[in-house]
Amino acid sequence: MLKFVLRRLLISIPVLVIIVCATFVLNELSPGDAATALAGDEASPEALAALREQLGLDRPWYVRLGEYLAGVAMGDLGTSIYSSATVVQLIGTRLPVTLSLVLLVLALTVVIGVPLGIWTATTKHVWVDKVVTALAVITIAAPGFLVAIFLVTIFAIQLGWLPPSGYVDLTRDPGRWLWHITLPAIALAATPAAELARMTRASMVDVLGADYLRTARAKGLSSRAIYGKHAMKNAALPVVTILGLQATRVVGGAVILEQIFNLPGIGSATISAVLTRDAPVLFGVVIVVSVLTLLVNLITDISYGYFNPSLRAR
Amino acid sequence: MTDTNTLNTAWMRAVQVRRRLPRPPVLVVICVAILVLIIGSAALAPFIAPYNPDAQNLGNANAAPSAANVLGTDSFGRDILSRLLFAGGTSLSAALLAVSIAAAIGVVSGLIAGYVGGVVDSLMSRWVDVMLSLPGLIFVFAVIGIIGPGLTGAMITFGVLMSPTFYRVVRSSAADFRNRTFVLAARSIGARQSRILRVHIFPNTLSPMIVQLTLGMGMAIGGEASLSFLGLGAQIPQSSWGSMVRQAFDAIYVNSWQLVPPATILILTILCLSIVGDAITDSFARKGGLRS
Repeated sequence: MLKFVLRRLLISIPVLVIIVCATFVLNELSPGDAATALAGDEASPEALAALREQLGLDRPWYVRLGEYLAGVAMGDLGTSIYSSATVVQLIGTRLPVTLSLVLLVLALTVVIGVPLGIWTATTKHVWVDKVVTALAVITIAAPGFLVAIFLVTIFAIQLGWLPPSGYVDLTRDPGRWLWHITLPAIALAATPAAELARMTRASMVDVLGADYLRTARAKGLSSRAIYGKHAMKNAALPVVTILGLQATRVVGGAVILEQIFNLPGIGSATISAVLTRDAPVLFGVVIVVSVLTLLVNLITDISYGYFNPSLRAR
Repeated sequence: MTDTNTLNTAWMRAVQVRRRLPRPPVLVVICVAILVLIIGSAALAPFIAPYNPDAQNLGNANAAPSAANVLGTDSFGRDILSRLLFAGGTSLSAALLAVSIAAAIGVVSGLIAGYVGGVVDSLMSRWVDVMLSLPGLIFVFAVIGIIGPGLTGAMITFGVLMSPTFYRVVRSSAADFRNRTFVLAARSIGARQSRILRVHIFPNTLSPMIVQLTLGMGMAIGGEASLSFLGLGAQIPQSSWGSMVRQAFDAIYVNSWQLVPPATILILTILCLSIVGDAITDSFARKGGLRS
């Protein structure tokens, strides 16, 4: 198992290097650099050249790429063009907001999606299956931000049960944190939970028809043993795959939802960096989010090993 | 006696033919009709829109639906129905742009990888795995950060990031057909590689491609809406369904109704596209022509 994890970890490194190089190339392609941003529009060409020399921007690109890679490897992502804060500091203050949201969303996705899927797969009432499926199809079709706006309109603006925007830090007041984060979390979890429910349902239906389940029933096992042990563990594999894929999409969705709910997370930092063309912050976010995504993929792969032991041997 | 027999066999044959042709479910027919209606009305917007979509009438702002303004008016007193019709053209053509780019890149690279195989195939497929495992939206942001906000740039980037799904579909059918007898026959009579790819392999990748095009269109419409909602896609005075949702959201305390038309049409379009896409997949699966 350890060897399996280590190998997956080693495969991630070249991917990360490619991403960092790609952000460097994008940065090179972007009009203007740190010198033009610092010197302002009025600067003379001489002053600009002097500033470039001072910042080391006049050196050949491969020297700077090497330096950039080394910097990233040691956790230095540069400095924001518009504020004196380093990119790492900036992301550091915002990452906890996004991470706490994403983790809550993933938890909600599993808590809602899996039981719903199992319920629709095992229920004798056809209408339950039909209603849940229809709801799931509509939720999947709706872009995430529409689901969020819909929920805000109903629960925050019309009913006034939950705040429409704002954020309180988890460490400062967990209760108020939850009060603020519930609506964004439900909005963000709706689509993945619907997809997970459909996947779980399909996977369960598949497994329930299998011969070994008939055997288990014939042996006289309790329904808890049949469903809990034989059916669930085998039905889990495709479900875990979907969950892993969704984790990356939840991160993308969080970026948009933070705009709607005014959460001070990584997403709102990204959008303002895009609009002000703050390249170091933008590419810092790309790198951090990529690392997070690779970690999620790693966790998904490891859980494959748990659910399907034959993968571990390979 | 003979007459009834011929009648019977004719009847039997008709029944058989009908059984062989999968009858599209009612839902799918409705969805196709809705899509035709949406696309048609967007295309004919200049002729059928009751008002100029940009004509402001502040005296009649935030009006509820009425005979004069079927879907009401927005915060500037502009007719929502007219805006919706014109915005449809923007949204649909933006989505078409993204899907065309995704399909072009995906088809060319997929055909090459599937047909050539070997190292080329494994390198390209590994690359696609990486692309698919990353949150694409973040990369769209990165590119927009460089080229600046705008619908065309945003949708081209979106198309590039969507190309891996097309690559996978085309690659798997190209790899499937590479060693079929008719391809080997073409090769044995000395057909050029480019001709084999173009005439023999490419047409066979089309059926799974249609499904991907349909689903991709839905994804691209959603993507356009998200980006325009964030202010990174359609820029004023251009308006799309996504930017209409944005304007409505900004005025949500004043007039929450104006959110309903653009949101409904977005969900309806994407929903219909996905139902039609699924139906096509099902009909291919029944014919046994499509391997997942």
